[in-house]
Amino acid sequence: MAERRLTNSIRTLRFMAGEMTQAELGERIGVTRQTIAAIEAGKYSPTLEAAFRIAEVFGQPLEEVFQWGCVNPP
Amino acid sequence: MRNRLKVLRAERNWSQADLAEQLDVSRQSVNAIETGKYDPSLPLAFKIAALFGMPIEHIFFNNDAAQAAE
Amino acid sequence: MAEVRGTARSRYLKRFTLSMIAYAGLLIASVLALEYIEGSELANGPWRFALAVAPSLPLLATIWAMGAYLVDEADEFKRSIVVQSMLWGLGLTLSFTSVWGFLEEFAQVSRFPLYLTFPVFCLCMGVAQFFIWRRYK
Repeated sequence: MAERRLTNSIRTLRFMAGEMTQAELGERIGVTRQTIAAIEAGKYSPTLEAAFRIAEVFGQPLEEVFQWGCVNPP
Repeated sequence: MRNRLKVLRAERNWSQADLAEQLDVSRQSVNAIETGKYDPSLPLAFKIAALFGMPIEHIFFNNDAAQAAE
Repeated sequence: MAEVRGTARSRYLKRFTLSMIAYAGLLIASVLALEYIEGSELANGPWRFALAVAPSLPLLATIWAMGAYLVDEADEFKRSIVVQSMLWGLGLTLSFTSVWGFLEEFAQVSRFPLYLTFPVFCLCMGVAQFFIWRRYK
């Protein structure tokens, strides 16, 4: 197994939740829109706490929101 | 964040050093996480969950959820 | 914290020790060399500056080694401790030099030797690191 990378389905979940904007999501969990944008784009790894809060907003298990998988499968 | 790491570790008869070695982190790291003084990064939390074979939510608890459970 | 194997920390300590030895050596050599060329034509040329600056190079190497440690260290908790210590060290050092600077400027207090800034930072960082480790015990 090669290196693992963190990915997320936040954008999809946002659209499915009545087209929630990044700003709205940010407000719901107490961070700025820029932070949500950075998390969504995979440029910033959120704290465990923030990840929990995001999952809570969408009512999903954490593994539905964030995935930690192999980048290069054998 | 609260967590059940100590309990899960005890179930498998692992010392903090054992767990640290399995996770490839320092023993101080394991101790700080167990005592709730240090929140692991998301990748490390995933690693821990994978090691114990259970979802992250079964190991770590958001403070609101922890209070609701009481 | 005492386990030092082939780790990022052991690499850092090795580099730090070598740098400090180089620092001491260059300091002595540079002072002697500057005395030696005093009064000769060499004293006013580029040699004066080169010899004066030489002991600072190991200090730059130490700063680089600190950065290299943060890149090397795979344990996120240990990294976090060092980063917190560095920030405290920086904050305290900046405060110290700022206050002294104003005293120098407006109260004619004697000049603080600028080249001691890095040792001051190391001291502040070390003290901060002690308290931060203790908080996690």
